[in-house]
Amino acid sequence: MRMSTTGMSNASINAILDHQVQMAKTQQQLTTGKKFQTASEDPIGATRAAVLDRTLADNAQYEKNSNVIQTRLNYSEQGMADATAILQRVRELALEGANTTLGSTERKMLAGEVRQNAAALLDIANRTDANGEYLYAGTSTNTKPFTTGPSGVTYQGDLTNRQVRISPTQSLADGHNGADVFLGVPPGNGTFTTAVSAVNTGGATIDVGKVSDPTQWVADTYTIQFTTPTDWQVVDSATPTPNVVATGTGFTSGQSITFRGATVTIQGTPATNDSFTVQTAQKTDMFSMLENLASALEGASTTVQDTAQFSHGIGMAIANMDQALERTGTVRADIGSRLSAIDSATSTREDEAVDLQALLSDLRDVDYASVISKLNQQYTGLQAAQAAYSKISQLSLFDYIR
Amino acid sequence: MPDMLGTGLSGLRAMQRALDTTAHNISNVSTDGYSRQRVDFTTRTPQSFGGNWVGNGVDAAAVRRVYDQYVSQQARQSGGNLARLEAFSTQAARLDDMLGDTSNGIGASLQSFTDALNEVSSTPSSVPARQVLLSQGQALVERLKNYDSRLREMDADVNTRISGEARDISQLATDIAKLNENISSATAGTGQPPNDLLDQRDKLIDQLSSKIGVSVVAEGDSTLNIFVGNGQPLVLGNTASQLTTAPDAIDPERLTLALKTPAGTVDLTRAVSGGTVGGLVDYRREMLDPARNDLGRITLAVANQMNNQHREGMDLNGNLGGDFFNVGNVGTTDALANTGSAQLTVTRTSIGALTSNDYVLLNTGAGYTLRNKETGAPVAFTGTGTVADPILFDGLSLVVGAGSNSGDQYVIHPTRDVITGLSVAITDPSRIAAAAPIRAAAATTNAGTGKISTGEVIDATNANLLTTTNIVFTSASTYSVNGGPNVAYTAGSDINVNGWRVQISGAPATGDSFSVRNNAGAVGDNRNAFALADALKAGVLDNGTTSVASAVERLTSDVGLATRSAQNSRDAAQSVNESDVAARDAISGVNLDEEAANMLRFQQAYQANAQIISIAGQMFDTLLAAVRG
Repeated sequence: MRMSTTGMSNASINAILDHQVQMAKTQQQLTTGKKFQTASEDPIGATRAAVLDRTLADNAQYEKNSNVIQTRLNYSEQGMADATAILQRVRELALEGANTTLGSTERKMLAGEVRQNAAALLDIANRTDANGEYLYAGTSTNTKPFTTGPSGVTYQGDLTNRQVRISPTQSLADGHNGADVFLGVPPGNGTFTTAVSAVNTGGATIDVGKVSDPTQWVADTYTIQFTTPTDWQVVDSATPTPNVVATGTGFTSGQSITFRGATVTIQGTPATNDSFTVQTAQKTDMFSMLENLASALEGASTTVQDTAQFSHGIGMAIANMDQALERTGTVRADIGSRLSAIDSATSTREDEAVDLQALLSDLRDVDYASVISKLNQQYTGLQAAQAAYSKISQLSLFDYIR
Repeated sequence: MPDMLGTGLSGLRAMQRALDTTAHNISNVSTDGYSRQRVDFTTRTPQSFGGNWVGNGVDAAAVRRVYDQYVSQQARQSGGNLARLEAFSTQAARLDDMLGDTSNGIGASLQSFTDALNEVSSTPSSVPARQVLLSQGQALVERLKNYDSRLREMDADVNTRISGEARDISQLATDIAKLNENISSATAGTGQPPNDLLDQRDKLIDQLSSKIGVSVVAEGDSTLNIFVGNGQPLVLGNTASQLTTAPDAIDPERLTLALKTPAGTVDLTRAVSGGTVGGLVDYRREMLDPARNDLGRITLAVANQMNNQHREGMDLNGNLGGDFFNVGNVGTTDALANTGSAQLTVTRTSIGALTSNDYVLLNTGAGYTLRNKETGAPVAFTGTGTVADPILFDGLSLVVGAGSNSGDQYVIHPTRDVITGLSVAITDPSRIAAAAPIRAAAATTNAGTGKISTGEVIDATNANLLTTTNIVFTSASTYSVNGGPNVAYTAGSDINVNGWRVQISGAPATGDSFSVRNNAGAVGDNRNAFALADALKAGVLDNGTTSVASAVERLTSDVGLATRSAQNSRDAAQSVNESDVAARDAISGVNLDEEAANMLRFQQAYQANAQIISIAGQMFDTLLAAVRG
């Protein structure tokens, strides 16, 4: 084997160039802190890193979404807390109004306070969130959801609840539409409502009643008719001839009447041909419940019939407030469970982010200790190559020819 | 009589020649392609003298280069291979640099766009959030266009380089043919090899082989013939052919490499295998074209997913959403030799079934055949190409217009031009259809427990989509739509009316009613924005198995892998070439120490021969003195 002079020189220079390329790569790793700059340096790692980056970016978006929905739910929760306070206050006013010693002036003052509270409830129902969007308008967030008209308060929003994604698999509604909160509340005991006929001549009144046997209850409108002050029958709404579903004799004040699983109590003395109706509850809105209470409080109180109507009206109002409070309670519980779902999704996401970051760092970030030691090795190698070149290139036989 | 003077003189001349050659070697120590030369010494024919054969001195019989044809051939071949991989991997690295940039790449733009979409989804009535979505859509378009134009530049660059290489190759062929002629006449004149001319020719052939794969065949004793591609002659004796670039016969937008022969031009693009040109052609076929098509396919998937869902939504003004993105159509080109004037109309029918391939449609006279443009493999299709019965294949529908003749060929590029025509179709943020167009609701007075789903659009083009529809339960087990005939109720089953679909579940009571109506005014509705974000994440490519984001990642990793493997092959080829060159240098290279030793040796021999002449002179003087004496 012989070496050519050019070949020797090329070999040494190639070695030096190789070392320099390696060092430049190592230096780039050190300055950027990343193991690879382009996909070709580690195609598998780069792809995995891109997937992890995407997951992290998605998580950041879920975080933002969670914040948005959390804020809105907190606003909504505050609204429900305020509404609960108002309904409780109204219930107290109803109890206060039930006191028979009050004169009509005091009752009118109570009615005034009920109306103020009704206005406050309407304000809550028309509340907006931080972005000026109505809280209880469904997705018609720029439409004022509750307006007052001749027929009372009407709902202008829609029935859609906006879903927001808080994790890859979970989405939550960011509120309740106004209909779910303020509308469709069943009055009375929730199953049926009672009424004292306006043409009664006796002074008897009826309570809100209760369902004593849900399996027997058949939805219909029933009329309790007193054929004498002590004999009664219950008929349904069949036409032209109503069916008699129950009869009784020897009625005394405070006695319960039970038919088809419904139990009502009539207080006072009914006159012959007096009647009371028991009717399937027609869902209504909270505002008309309050308005009904105010009207009851403002009603005339001169005759025994007035008193009968009044005490029935107050009884209904208290039952209605209980139904409304149950509704706000349900909505608040719902909000609470959503907020806790957000919390748990957030903590899962944060745990996952820590894992992902660690994984990403393993994949992509430079291990400085090992890279610096590699750089040192390469530095030594380059020095050796340069030293070897300068030694070898100095040798020439021509130097010895004199 | 043996002539001592003549013998000394022959040695002196031979050593003179040897010293000349040594000087030539030393002066060419750095000359590329130079092979060291040696003088062959032979003894002269002896003379018979007094019954003895007496030597007559030395002759410098020939000056020849030290050269091993096999080893040089190896070095040339590995040099050509290295040049091919060098060209391939250099270009590939540019592609890799562009696509592998994860912080500024398409993946990042797509992520920003998706984030903006999610932002609209969580705050649908916010105009700033909508504006951000439009801006991010614009940014995505610009990023894709930027990539597309860079890919086009790379394509143009490859074309330019191939043209340049073709000129260089033609020049080299001419020079080699000229050298063939010179060598042939020099050899014929003296019978001796013209070493330096041979070196020059070898060097030119080395250069040629680093540009294009060649096979070299010796003809006679001094001429070399050079063939390229599948044996097309580039140099025959002292005549050279010219290499040129010409538009592709089938796909005229593309440049091909062609050899000019007396019989016409021969397309070499598919036949070239090595050298820079081979590397460029391979790179274009294996990396650049697929990357461009893939990018088009990805763009198409994004646009299509967005558009389909966006059309099913409602904007802030209560109008149905239109397209979100505009995209370019399917590109077609007519072959140069087409005699007909038919126009092709190609539409995309299924994004999932699209491939990254280009196709060639051939009118056979009796019908059509379809083949993959790259591989030439036949592609299965149905239909006859008429409007009533279009040719259907790989997610495309193709109609051939009137005037197609037998033998006409058309190239179909399903995805190549997608990005050229890409733009965001809407400019007004309120036109973003974040809401669903319909709202379904149960009447608040319903006595039963029936619930209605929010409803989804299945046909946004239905004229009655937004017409209010009432579903009233005529009994607990039947319902009527808008007062129509009774339909039996099954909880949870689909109710499809007017292009929408809802489900009612639970136990509705008689008289309960549900309505589906125009959702105008629901500015806080995010249902469609939600669906848009889902659509972007969904698997849509490769028959629904690949999401857009993973397609981007796969493109990046495919290019990365190909680049890495090209670089690895390049590194391997480089070390093979280095060792081949070292082997050649070991034989043919000049070693200065060796030459110094030779110089001393020949100088000493020269001095000794001179001494012999001097001794011969002294002997002659001695003889004269004896006579004179």
